[in-house]
Amino acid sequence: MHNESRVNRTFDVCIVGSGPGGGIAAYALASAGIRVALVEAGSRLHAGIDYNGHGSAYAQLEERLKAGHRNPFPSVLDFSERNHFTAVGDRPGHSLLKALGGRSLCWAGHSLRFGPADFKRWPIVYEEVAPYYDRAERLMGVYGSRDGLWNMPDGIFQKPVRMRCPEMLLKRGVLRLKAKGRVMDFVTQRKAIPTDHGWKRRPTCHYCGQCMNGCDIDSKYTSANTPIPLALRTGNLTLLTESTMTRIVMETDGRHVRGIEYVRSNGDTADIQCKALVLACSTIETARHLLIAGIANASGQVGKNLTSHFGVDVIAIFPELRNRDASNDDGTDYFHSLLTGLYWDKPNPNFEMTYQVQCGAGLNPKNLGIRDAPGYGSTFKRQLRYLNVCHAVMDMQGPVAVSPNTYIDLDLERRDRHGLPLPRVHLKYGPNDVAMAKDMVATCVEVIRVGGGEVYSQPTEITTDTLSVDPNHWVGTVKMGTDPKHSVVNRFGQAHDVPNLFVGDSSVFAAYPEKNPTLTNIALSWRMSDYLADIAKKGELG
Amino acid sequence: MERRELFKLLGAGLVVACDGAAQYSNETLAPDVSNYKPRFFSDQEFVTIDALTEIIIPADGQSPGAHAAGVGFYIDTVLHYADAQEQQAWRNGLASIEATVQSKFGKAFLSSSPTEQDQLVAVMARNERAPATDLERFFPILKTLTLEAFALSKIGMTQYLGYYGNIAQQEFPGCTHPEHQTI
Repeated sequence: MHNESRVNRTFDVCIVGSGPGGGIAAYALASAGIRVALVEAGSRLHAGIDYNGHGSAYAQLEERLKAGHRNPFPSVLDFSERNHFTAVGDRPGHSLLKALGGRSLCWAGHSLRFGPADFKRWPIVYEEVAPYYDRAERLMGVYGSRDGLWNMPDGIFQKPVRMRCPEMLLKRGVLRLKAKGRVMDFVTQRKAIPTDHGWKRRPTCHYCGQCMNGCDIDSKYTSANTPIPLALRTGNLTLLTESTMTRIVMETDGRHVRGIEYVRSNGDTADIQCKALVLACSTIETARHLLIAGIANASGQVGKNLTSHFGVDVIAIFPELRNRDASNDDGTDYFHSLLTGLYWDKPNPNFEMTYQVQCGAGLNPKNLGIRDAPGYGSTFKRQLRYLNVCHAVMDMQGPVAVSPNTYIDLDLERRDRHGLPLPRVHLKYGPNDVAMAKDMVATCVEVIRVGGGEVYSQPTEITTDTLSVDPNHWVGTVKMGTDPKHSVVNRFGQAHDVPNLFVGDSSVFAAYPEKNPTLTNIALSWRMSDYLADIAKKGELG
Repeated sequence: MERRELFKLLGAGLVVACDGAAQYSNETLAPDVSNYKPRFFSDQEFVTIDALTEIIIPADGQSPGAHAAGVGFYIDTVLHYADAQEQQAWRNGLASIEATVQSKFGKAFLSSSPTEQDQLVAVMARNERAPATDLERFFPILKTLTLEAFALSKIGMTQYLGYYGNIAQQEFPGCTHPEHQTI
């Protein structure tokens, strides 16, 4: 019936997953003249059609509810699958976005380079990654200000986007504390959203604030709007959407990948043969597939070393802003600023590692920052508007300490529709996490008060019950290292045990700083692809 | 005009007024709730909800209130498609309101005076942070959806919040107040 699926099913490289890591690998490899297949479980979405936050809630309500959505605006999150894992322990989450581009469709775009200190426990150093950061930022179109911070190096930036009034007052608090000798910085966020009008690759941002619902003009960088179209243009990329990998097929020697089997949306099974396989399915899904296949795990480390960012929120009120202009604060979505530079030079004696605080403000009715003002009537109306006009949210982000209690394994009770076990995600907070969160709250409260504000809300008591994990920031399950006994892939992302298997997502991170993972994921996947292309050109892929 | 063309023009520095009927819009199509035929609520329940939401977000010097914004339409539509559990919470809430008005004033909600309705809402709202009775538990449910509906209405967005976003801008102005730029 589907004989065409038997035609030309042999490729140099097969990439599974089209998110930030898979998309850039497709571009880098196809550009190097390598014949690539990119396998993606989701379908291709159309910006402005499948997602578009600009309409009227009242006009769209009926249609949206009828389609089973509660949010009155079409969002890329309509395509996210949240039940594709089993949660064990302290409320882990896992958001998959099944679409071409994966979670690069819904990411905030925050693009922060890891600094020299962040690579200390890696088998590579900052200088090896820096050229790939350069390339990534040029391709992605990243805005930011040149802040000269030693452990969050400046990159190739387009012009920065200004902060709103409440964020400027947080900055005032930080500057006053710095004047007293405290070590911290308050800078403009850096995002993969072009702001220079001369830039040609994608449209310049129009500051509508819908970034995380999906940018409807494809201004924000996604895998689907930049590297994948460029890769298709080379003629070397075959794109297979709505195709879910169900099996990694090994050679009889058990040490080399022969290809994969996948299921198409019509239920047909097909297969691909490849000289090398790149997994870029996400930290949780890549580890899951390796565990199901039982490969690349002589170290026993697959699924271990799992970590993500966790956080707590503190909300500030600056009464002096009570009469500020009714405003358009949309910008590039909620967070325009970042409190950073904490404990880089001198660690806090109470905990290891450090955190950053994403700060935001604004009066967008779709996501009002404060909704819980008490009471009702005219007093409530006045109070609620006052609070939202004057508020800023400080959202902490720090890495969960790696421990044997946080990992993924297979759930043999729950299986997906293809009969494959779902992943179980185990999360357990420890004393380091609680100590870090306490310090974060104390720092935020100090910044707010010194800046002239009041604390509207903060966690009353910090325990493991008050922490919440970021379901998009998991890393570490396929750790990179030089020693095959203690790591899964080498310093380029090549599996120690299976030389033609490569990993192109954030699961390879050897240690996790406070900074967002995607830019580094893209840089490392590009570096991995160059290494793989070299091997392929030397004819060493077999 | 295709939106993509619109953005090309904006990129070229031309000023283009956004058409209110185009996709860039804060307009609402909320019907006049006085003539609205509810689907989840009965006609009497709908009048009750309309009155309660107007007490929570009233017309005042700040802006018109929930009734004018069409909040009842939004709530009725959401509940029409809601799951059985959410629907039941609203049925229970309405039942507890009728029971309270009967025991307090000896009449149905729709026969009660505005003063009596105000008294009812005061009772509902007295334990907002730790509701203990069915009536008190219904208040946060009612208030949350009322606020969502109001904030997303044209009146709520523009006349109440003073929000004028959701438009295409050439540059993002941000904060330029001199008094906010200094230590």
